[in-house]
Amino acid sequence: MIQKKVCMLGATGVGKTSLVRRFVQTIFSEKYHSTIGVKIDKKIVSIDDEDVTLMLWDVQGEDTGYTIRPSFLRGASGFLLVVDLTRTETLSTALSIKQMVKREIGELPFFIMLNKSDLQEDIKITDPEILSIADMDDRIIRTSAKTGENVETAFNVLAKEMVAS
Amino acid sequence: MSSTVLNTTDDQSVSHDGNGSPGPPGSEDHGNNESDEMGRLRKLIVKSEGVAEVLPAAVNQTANKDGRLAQATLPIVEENIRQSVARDPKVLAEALFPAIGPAIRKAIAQALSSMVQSFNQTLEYSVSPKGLGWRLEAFRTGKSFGEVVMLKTLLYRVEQVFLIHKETGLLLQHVAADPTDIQDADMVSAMLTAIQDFAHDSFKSTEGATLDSFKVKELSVWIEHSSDAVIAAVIRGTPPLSLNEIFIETIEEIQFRFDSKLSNFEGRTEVFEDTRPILQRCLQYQLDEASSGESRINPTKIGAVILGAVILLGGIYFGWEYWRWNSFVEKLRNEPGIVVAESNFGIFQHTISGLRDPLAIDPVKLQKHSNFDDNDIAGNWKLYNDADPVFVLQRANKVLNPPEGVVLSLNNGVLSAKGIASPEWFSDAAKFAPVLVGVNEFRVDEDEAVRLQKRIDSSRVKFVCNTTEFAEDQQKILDSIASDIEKLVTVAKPKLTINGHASETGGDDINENISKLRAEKTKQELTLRSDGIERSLEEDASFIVLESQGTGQTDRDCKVTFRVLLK
Repeated sequence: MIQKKVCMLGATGVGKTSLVRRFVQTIFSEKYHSTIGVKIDKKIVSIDDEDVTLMLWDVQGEDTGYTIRPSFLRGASGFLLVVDLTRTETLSTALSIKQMVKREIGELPFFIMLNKSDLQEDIKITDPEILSIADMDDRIIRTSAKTGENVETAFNVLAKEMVAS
Repeated sequence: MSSTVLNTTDDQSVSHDGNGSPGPPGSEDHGNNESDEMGRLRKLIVKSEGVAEVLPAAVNQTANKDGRLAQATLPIVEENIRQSVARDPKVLAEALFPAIGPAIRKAIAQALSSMVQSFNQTLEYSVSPKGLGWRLEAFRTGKSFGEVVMLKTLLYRVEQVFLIHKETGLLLQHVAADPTDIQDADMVSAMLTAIQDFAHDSFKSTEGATLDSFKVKELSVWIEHSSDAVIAAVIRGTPPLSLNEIFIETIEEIQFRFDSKLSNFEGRTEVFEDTRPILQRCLQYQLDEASSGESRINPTKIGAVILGAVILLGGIYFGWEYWRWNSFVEKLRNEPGIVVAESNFGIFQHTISGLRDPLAIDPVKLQKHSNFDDNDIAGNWKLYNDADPVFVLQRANKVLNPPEGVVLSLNNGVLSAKGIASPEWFSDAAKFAPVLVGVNEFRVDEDEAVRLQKRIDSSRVKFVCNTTEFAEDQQKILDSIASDIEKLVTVAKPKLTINGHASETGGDDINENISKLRAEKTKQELTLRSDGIERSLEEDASFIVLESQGTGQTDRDCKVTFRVLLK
C-alpha cells in the first residue's frame, strides 16, 4: 500500500469540496474548513494493480481574508489546483497559489482542474486566457463536480505521476 | 580520480630502487637523487589531496552499503571519546550539553509535575467535596471507598496509538486495544497533524514547539515527537503522568531503529510493519486493585480507614447513648408522680420537661442513678398534685396529721380514718380532707376498741336481789363480757369501772355493802374467766376500779354495770 498526501487548493467557492464530496471517503464535517482551515478526505485509486491511498487535504479556499497556511502543504506529494470557469479571478488566484507552493515546498506534480465545465453559458474564462497558461497545457483538465466529468481521471493521473516521481 | 590513484601506484614503483627501497642521500648521483626526492614529495602531496578528495564519498558509500564501516570505526570512536574525557571532560560535556540539557530539564519537569499531580490527587480525595461524594457513593453502593476512587480516577486505558510520519502526516502504523471500535485511522492521523499545524501556526509558538496533548471529555490525546515521527496515544480515563515515559521511550526506539526508513519515506507503509509490536507496548491499562488482588497502603487509604473507624466508633457511641437516654426517659415515664411531656436527644446535652409531684422521686436522683451528669441533661419540671392513691394518702397524712393510733386509708377516693382520736380532730379532718386532690369523701372508720367499749358499757350482770348470787343465766353474760375485755386490752389500754347496784328495799348501809360485794364478785368472776384481765391487773392494779351505787330505784337494780374509759 502506498500513501500520498495531496492538497486540494484554489480560491473560495471554486468547487473543491463539491469535487471530492461525491468521489471520496470522509468522516469529518465540512465545518472543519471554517475552524482549522482544512478537512481531510481519502481517495483510493488503483495504479498498475496497486492501491494508492490519496490523503486529500481539502484546504480552505484562498480569498482576500484568508491565506493558505504553508504548514498544511508540508509533506505533500502533489496538488490539485481548482479553478471556477465561471469566475475569471479564480484563475489568477490558482496561479498565485501555484507560485506559493513552489516557493514553500518546491516543484510537485499537479493538475489544474477547470471546474464547473457543465455551466457552458456562464463560462467567463476564455480560451485566450487558458492559452496564457499554455505552457501547462498538459496539466489542465476540464472537470464538472455536477456531472463527474474527468474527476476520477484527474485523481488517477495525479496519483500515477506521484508514484512515478 | 581513478587516474590519480593509478598514478599513485605507479609512483611507488618509480620512487623505489631495484631492491624496492629509496637510495641513500649523498651518493654519486646526488643531483639525480635530490631531483627524485623532490619528485617523490610532490607525488605524496598529490596522493594526499587525491585521498582527501575521495574519502568522504567512499565513507558515505560504505556506510550506506552495510554496517562494516560502523563496526570498524566503533573501537576507534570509543577510544577517542575515552581519551578526550580523560584529558578534559569539559570538552565533551560542552559538546553534549545542548542535547542533554533540555532532555534533563524535561525529565525533571515531568517528574515534578507527576509528583505535584499525585499530591494534589491525594489532597483532593481526602478532603474535597468530590472525595466526600465518593465516600457517600461507596456507602450507598456497598463498595469500598478505594474501589470507588479507582473506578472514578485511576482506571485508564490506552485505546489507540497512531504512528504518524511527521513531514507528511501520513499514518505509518496504528494499533488499538479494541480493533472493532476505531475510526478511519489514516484520516484521523492526517487530521491530528492538521490540528497540530493549526495550533502551532495559530499561537505563533516558537520553532520546535509542539502540541503535546489535548482532552475530549474522558478521552485524552497525548502526543510525542521525534525528528521524523509522531506518536499520538488516545487514552480513556485519567492516566498517571509517568505513562508518558513509555511513549517517549517508544518514539525514541522507533526513531533509532527506523531512522533511514523514516527520513526516506516515500509513502510505502509496509516497511513499518515491524513497529507494530513496539507500539503495542504502549497499549497500557490499569486494573483496579480489588480485581487484581493487589493492595497498596497509601495515605488516602489510611485516612479512609481512620475516618471509617471514627465514624463507626462515633456511631456505636451515639447508638449506646441514645439507648441509655431512652431507657432513662422510659424509667421516668414509669415513675409515679412524674409526667414526661417532651424529651429531646442532643449531641452535647439532652433536654426533658414535664410535670412532677412534690412527693415523687427527684428526677435528678434518677438521672444520677442512670449515670448522667448534671450537665448532661437540662430538665424543666413544673410541680403538680398527682391523683395516684399513694400520693393522695401521703398528702392526707401530711396535711391532716392524724394522732397516734389513727390510720388513714384510701379506697376509690374515700379517705377513711380509723383509730382513736379526739372528737376535735375528727371534726377538722372531715372539713379538710375533701379539699385534697384525689379525695372525694371522708369517713371515720369505727375502732374495734370503741366497738368493744360500747358493748361492754352496755352490758349488765344481774344478781338475785338481797344476795350476791348471780341471777340465772348470767354466766354466759359474764363469759361474753370477759371475752370483750380480753380483746379490748389487746388493742387499747382501757380503764374499767365495775359499778355495783342494789334494789330499793333494804337499808342504805346494807345496800351499799351489797353493791360493793356484787362489784367485787363480778371482778373476781371476770378475772377467773380471762388470763388477759388477770395480766392487766398484775401490770396495773388500777385497771379495774370498783364503785358502789347503793340503794337503787327498783328491784331491777340488783345488778352491776360497766364503764370503759379509753385513753
